[in-house]
Amino acid sequence: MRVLLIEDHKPLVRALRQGLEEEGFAVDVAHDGEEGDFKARSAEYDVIILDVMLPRQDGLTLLQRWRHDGLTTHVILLTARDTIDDKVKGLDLGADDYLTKPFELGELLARLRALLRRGHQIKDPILRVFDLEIDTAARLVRRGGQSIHLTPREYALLEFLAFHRGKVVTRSMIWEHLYDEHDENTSNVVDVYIRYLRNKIDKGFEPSLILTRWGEGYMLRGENS
Amino acid sequence: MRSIRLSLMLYFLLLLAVALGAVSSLLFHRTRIELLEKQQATLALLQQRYHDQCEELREKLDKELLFRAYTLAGVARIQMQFGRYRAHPFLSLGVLSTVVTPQGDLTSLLNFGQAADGGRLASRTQRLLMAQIEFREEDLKQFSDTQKSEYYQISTDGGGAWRSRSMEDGSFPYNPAIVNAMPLYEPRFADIELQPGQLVRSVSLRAPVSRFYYPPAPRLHSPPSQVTAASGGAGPRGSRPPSREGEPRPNQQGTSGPGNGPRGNRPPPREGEVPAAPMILVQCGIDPHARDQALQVLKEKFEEDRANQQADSEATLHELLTNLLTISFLTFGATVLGSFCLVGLGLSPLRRLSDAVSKVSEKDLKLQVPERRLPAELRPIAQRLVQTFDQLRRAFTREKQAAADISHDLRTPLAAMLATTEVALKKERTPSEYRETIGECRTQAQQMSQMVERLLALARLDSGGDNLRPREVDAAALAEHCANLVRPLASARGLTLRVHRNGPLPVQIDADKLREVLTNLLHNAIEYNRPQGAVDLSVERANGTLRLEVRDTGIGIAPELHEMIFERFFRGDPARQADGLHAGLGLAIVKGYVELMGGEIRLDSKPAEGSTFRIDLPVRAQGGRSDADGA
Repeated sequence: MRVLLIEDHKPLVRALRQGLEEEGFAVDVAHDGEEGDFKARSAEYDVIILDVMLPRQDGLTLLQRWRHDGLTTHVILLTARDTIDDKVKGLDLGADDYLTKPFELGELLARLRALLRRGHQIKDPILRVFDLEIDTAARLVRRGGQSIHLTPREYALLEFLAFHRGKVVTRSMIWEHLYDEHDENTSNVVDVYIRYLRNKIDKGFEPSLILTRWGEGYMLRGENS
Repeated sequence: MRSIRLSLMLYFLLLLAVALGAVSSLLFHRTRIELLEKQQATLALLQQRYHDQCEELREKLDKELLFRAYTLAGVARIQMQFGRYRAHPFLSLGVLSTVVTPQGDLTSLLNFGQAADGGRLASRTQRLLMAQIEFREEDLKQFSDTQKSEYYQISTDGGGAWRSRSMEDGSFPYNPAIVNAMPLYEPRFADIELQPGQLVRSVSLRAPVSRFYYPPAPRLHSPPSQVTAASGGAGPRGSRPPSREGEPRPNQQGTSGPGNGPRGNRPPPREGEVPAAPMILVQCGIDPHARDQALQVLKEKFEEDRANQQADSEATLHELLTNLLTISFLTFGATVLGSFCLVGLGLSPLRRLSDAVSKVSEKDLKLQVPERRLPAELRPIAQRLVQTFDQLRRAFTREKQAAADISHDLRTPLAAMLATTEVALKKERTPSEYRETIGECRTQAQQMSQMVERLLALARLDSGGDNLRPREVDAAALAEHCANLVRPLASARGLTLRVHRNGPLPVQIDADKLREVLTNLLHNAIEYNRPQGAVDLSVERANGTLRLEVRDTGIGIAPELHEMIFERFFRGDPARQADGLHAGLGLAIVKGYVELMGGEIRLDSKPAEGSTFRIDLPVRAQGGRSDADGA
């Protein structure tokens, strides 16, 4: 999942980026409102983590403009302001969630995951595809009762395919959602990781879940496929 | 007074009461005076009339009396009563004769003397004593002297008197001396008491009798025709028939022949001669009973009229008073009610303002009152209130903002620390990674600590609990020291840092605070600088003032912000990187300290032309020489 972190406090940014990347998120960063606005409009993010007090443009104004202009990306607000009024104001302006500093990293991650589920309209944190079980909360994968270990990137890719099960995802989609701006776009990378994934998920199991749609992309087998 | 409305009403009603009272009493007084004058005038008139009427009555009576007197005088006749006279011839001398008068016999020597003066004395005596007054019946018809209320008395000089029957036992006073002195035909009026208890109004009139007859004198001596011119007139009269009447007294002079007396003119009597016509005193009296009664009636009427007059006046006054009082009370009452409403109405803007003020909510501190509709007196109040509320609102907003800023600026490093440590602890890390983490935390903690220190410094400045601890320091050396502290930072940014000084500057000053100030300014100078820029720190002393200057070649500060950058939580430049967290407190503390030390801080800066912060501090030199009131 690709996340845009708009925050001006560098130490926090460093910590959050590392924390999120280690959880398999692709993280882009902006340090002020202007930069954040630009990036938010130019790429497809799953969630935007937005600090309210920013130089150049405060977060709430940004949020208001995004919603007015039809930007539907999930936004979770991050701020030191914790009064009820501030929370209400933030949510009413169009935020999807609100987190006050200082916060536990775990909480932030859980809320991110919830937003992702919401985005795909999935309620159950545990995705089940045939005999494949993906615990999105714990980030654990089992197939046929057997737990499978995946690297963060692999997990992210699987999760992405699972969220779009039964639908074709193109390579560029995969790229958009799993790689941050700093990664070099080589179409090969996606293929390579698909292969890794297949080795772990489909090898030795029936049916094969990761399907290839020639000329389009990949797909996780849906129920009625 | 608790209520403006009541006190206004009270004052106004007081005024009204006083006014009404004054007007009423004035009116009453004037009317009373006028009424009294009128009353006086009317009374005077009444009195005049009364007097006139009384006078009329009196005059009427008196006229009546006079008329009667004159009439009586006119009809009175003197008749000699020979019966009264008897001359007793004594002896052949015939000298003595007795005159028998009503008073009785009188042997007199008169006749004796008669011979001597030609009988004049005797004649006189005769006349005097024997004259009797008589009236003819028909003359008296006009006098009904049986009437009790009319009294008449005619007296002769000799004492004879004729009295009317009504007089009974009474008589008019007759004093010969006075009578003889009375001029003729001059009536004298008097009120006389005829008898005890019987008062009459009388008139006395001395008049000559027009009808009289003196009989010729008895022939006692020489013939009557002998008249001596020098004899003085009282000669014997010419013979005359006794019953001739109504004739004027015969002329003495020309009585040489009988019946020769001229009937016409009466020559004046000779000198020394007693006028021959007898004088009578007519005295008439009328019981003034009727007159008095009439007078009484008049008087009573007069009194009644007067009383009525007075009563009328008083009634009018009384009515006037009642009316005035009634009107006053009604007016007063109406005004009480009216003023209650009107004053209330007049005060309604005040009430509106007070309502508006009480409606001001804590949330937005806005005064809802249409300023244009307020009266002139209240407008300044309303304006001031609005101003004050605005100021309060701004202050509250600033405070809220400040609180938000503080919380943000403390929580963010905390969040960073928390996130850093969480991430580090998530899984096994390399020692160098741990070191890095710990280093991060340390940095954050330092920043937070700095933040906390600044907040505390401000709190202390606010509460006045900050004491200055001046001690002996070399200001120049201190400046160098600060510069050296920040030099690494400057070098890291490629900035040139220079210190300008001239030898040691020993001063008495709070060294810690000075250091804090300089360090702060230097940090700012470095942070807001251009690449390859410069920072200049200069320190010098002039006339008991320590002057420090920190100049940078940075981005500058717009003139309109010069005042505001020293305010708390003012973040001058939103574009700066939020590397450190100053939260806008640094300059606030700098200014606070400078002013605590009794000094001044000034800023000289234009955008893109760098900034110069200038500080002047009063100092005492070493050795206690006081150049100025030191810190």
